Amino acid sequence: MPDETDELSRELRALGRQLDVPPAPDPARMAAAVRQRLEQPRSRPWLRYAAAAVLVAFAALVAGSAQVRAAIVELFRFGGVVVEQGAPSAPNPNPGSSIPATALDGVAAARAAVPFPILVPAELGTPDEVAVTDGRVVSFAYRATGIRIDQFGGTLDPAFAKQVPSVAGVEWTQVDGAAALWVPGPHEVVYLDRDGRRHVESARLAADTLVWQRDGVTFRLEGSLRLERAIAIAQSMR
Amino acid sequence: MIPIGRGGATDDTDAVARTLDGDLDAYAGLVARYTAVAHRAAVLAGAGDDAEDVVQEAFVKAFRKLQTFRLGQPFRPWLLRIVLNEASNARRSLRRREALALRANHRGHIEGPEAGVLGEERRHALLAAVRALPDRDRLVLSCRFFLELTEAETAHVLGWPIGSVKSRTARALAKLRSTVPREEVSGA
Repeated sequence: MPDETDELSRELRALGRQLDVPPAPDPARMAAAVRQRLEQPRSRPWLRYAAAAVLVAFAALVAGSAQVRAAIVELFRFGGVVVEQGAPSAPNPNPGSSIPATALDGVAAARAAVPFPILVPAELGTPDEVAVTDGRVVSFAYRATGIRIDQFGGTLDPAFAKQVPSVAGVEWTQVDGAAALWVPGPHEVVYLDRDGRRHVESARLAADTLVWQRDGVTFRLEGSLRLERAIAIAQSMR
Repeated sequence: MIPIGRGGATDDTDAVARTLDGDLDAYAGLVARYTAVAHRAAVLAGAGDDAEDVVQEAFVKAFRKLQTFRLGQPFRPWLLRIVLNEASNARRSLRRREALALRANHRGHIEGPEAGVLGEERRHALLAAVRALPDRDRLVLSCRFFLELTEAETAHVLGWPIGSVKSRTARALAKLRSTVPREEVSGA
């Protein structure tokens, strides 16, 4: 066992104090910077967990759970979205990091990152934050309004889309004359990866959400919005 | 400057408990208290110019996983482990190979009251010898002597059993003794 007080140990400690370490940041400034990030729950966390964004909406869970404790039932698919009914999977208060989203520097970077066209809503303008998940989902965030938009390549299977359910507030509407799905929040959203695996650890509760498609791309708009406003934003995507 | 970031264990536990109750001021206090030591650890772990970002990211991550912190345990090594992981992520993304950025301070001034200044030659010889050690040796020596952590803290930070910390430290010191034998000068 090394002698804590031996000469070499002392020398190493002395060496440590003579190492060239740049001055530490000001503690108060660091505390303020960290605090600022922690106070923006809408902006930063989703960047890392944007994966939670998309693909499975569990309708009918939060309110009336008791009668639907049974297995999850897939109700229908729409574009890349699968709507299911069933008991919620207890959203993780601190969603896992197993589906990392990569922050991107602007819309142009997103266009370069995925093989499908990326549109921007004229109603909202340039997003404050842009991220890509799994190389297939591009997410925008607008800090001031807490609005989030996901875009991902995914085609509509008309056979599924015609199975119109009537579930807990979920309703069909139209964007630019094409079918769109309105899922009032809160509902649970779970990410399905390329292999169809369900990332329960990413589960979170989503606010009101509009889902629509155009040219083989599925769009998902989420925020505390009225349906009319959501449709106006959707129709402004260019 | 040293010892840096040693808050009282009770203070830390209290601050963590209050943070978990939603008190962000309590967490800001922890951040301020441990900024210096976290930054030093990030630099020593090779984060380079990104050290400040690494530290900020580590504090944000620590906050997010605070539920996994066991109240009553020391906060500092728990935090430093996150800092070192974050520094190693940053290093990987920069494809830096050097696991520890060790540079001598040419000003050579003493920042602690305890030890004497090493002569320049001795300093460079020691530093070169430490640099030449395998990663794990260098890591454990850095924790023990450059960050001045206890064996128990080092074990926590590196995620090793304490026995491994002791034996690895002893072996690394033995290697150093053979590569840079003690100077003959008396009173050095």
